Amino acid sequence: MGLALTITDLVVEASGGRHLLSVPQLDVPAGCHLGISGPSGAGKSTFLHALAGLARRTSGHVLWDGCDILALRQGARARFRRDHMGFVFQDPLLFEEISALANAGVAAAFAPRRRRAAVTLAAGEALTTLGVPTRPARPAATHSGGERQRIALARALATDPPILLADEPTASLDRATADTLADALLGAARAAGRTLVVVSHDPALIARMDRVLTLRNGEITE
Amino acid sequence: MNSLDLWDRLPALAQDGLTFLALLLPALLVGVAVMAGHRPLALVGAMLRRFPFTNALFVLLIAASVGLGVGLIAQERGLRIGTARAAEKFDLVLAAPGSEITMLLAAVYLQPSDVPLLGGDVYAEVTENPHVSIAAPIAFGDSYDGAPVIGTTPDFAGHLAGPLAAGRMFATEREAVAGARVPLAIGDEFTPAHGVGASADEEAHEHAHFTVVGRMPMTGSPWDRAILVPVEAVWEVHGLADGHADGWSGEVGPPFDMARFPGTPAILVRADELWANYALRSEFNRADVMAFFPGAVLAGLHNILGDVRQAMSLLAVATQVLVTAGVLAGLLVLARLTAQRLALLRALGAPARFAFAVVWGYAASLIVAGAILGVGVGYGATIALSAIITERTDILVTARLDWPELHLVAGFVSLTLLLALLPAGATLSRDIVRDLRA
Ligand SMILES: Nc1ncnc2c1ncn2[C@@H]1O[C@H](COP(=O)(O)OP(=O)(O)OP(=O)(O)O)[C@@H](O)[C@H]1O
Ligand SMILES: [Mg+2]
Repeated sequence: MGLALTITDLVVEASGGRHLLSVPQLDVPAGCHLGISGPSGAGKSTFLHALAGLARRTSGHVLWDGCDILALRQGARARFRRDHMGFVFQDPLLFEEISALANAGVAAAFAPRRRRAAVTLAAGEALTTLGVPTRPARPAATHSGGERQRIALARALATDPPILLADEPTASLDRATADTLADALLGAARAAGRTLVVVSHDPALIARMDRVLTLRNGEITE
Repeated sequence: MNSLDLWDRLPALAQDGLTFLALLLPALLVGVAVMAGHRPLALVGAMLRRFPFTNALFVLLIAASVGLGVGLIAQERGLRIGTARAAEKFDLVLAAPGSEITMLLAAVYLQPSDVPLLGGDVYAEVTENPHVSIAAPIAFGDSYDGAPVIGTTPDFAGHLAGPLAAGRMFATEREAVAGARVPLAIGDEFTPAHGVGASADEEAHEHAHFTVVGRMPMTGSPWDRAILVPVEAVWEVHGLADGHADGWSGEVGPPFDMARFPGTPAILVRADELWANYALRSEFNRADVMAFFPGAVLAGLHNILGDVRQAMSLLAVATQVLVTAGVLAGLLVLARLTAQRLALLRALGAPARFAFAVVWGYAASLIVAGAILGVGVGYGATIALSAIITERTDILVTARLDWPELHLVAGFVSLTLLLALLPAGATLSRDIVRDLRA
């Protein structure tokens, strides 16, 4: 089951002090599929980073089911991400030298012993669902751009997280592949009741969200 | 019984093994502390494969510096053991007063030099001592085809070589026994030249023909390249008295007649008791004779060599530290190149310790691989150098790895693995989001 998100007085600053993002108040119920759109440079990635407790120079509160991730220390934030979040970054960011399966299941390397097998298993299933060939195993570097994006999504799903954050998951994919990926993303989110926050320029993907916000110059409008 | 006693009672192997483990212990502890609970090896492997050439270069650099240290220690020990082995058959040397080292080089290592002679009176005095079992005059200065021709007695030749490898000991004035590395076979004849090396005069002794009747086994000393003949023959060839009274039977070796003893640069003495050797040394250290133990002179030289080794070891360690510093600086750069992947891991929720373990494991792989390869490099270099030294000096120098160099490597590995914590730690303070965007 997903977690509810409550944001109050969130401000993310650049190192110079300029506001990159400010969100005075936002409530997203558990299990909601939230779409974020907006022009390039509007602060969409910054928003997702703040939700995951990755951004520096933040103030305010980002509460996940009442737990303020910004109030946690680095180690606890990492644990929160490990236990509750799947993140699809704007760039797939794979370990190029290891296989698709090893990439999708990379969290097994630092998961608690009892969860390792489950993570690897889920990674394999996610790759299969997303149609990424895993046999014979070959370095991730040899996979196509679209396959790499799907490997990145499989990686986010492998830990069975209640929160899914995805930054442009369908960018640079053809329509058919983008739709398959969107189906998989929404299917996975819906099946487990996950809270989903998707940043996208893709109107087709945005149209399938429960609720859509637009970011402009770091400010959110409904 | 205190713990020091306990330590002293341990067999040497146990002491060395425990020292090795103690030196390696910091590395092992850090390794366990850093790696425990995670499985970073797949990602370490990915990092190793990511920059194969840079990694290979690092490993080679470390191997070269470790090899230098290992080679230095092993080579010095090999030289020490080899020179001592070559001298071990020489108990006591009597010579005219002068430099013990010059005499050592001349009599034991057959390095040609002009030294004053001892007369028949000293020789007679030595042989009168009831504890002296061998008192051999020696004569050098001739050569055949580059091999020194050394005159001595059958007793001493037998003592030096042990049982002959083939044939028999020389028994008459025109017989010879060849060292193991002399290219002469039993039955071959030769005529010695006067002098040694380039200045040797081929014609001086053209009427003296010797026949090889025996071959010595390998002794690992310059005597392997020498041809041994009766000392009487050398005296006679040079127009001197033959050392025996009129009516000599022709059987070579002692007793010699004092009146007809032409002189010898050194008398090689062996007593039947250890204490007698010491007594003889005191007795013959006086105005007209000096007496010394080649082993003791050599030990003094080895002490000097040991000091040199320590100075060189310091240099070698300094080199290793410098190389390590360079490697760590390189690792910092590589860690920066992999910063995006590390940021990814941390963004995915990997504990800081996991990312740390990946970087440290990566550094450790390079260091350990370099150290192991370095032991091989050092050993290989020692084999090659030892072969060259043996070829040039005939002093058998054997290459062997022993604990001191393994201790050095263990200490090096521990130190560098501790130092590798620095680049690993440096990656943790980086801005995750900035590295992700990079
Ligand atoms: N550390 C920083 N210092 C200064 N400016 C920054 C920093 N990080 C991000 N920015 C700026 O903040 C703005 C928002 O960046 P962000 O990546 O969130 O945009 P985005 O909406 O995701 O854009 P895109 O659609 O192109 O991915 C950009 O103008 C970016 O240049
Ligand atoms: Mg972005």
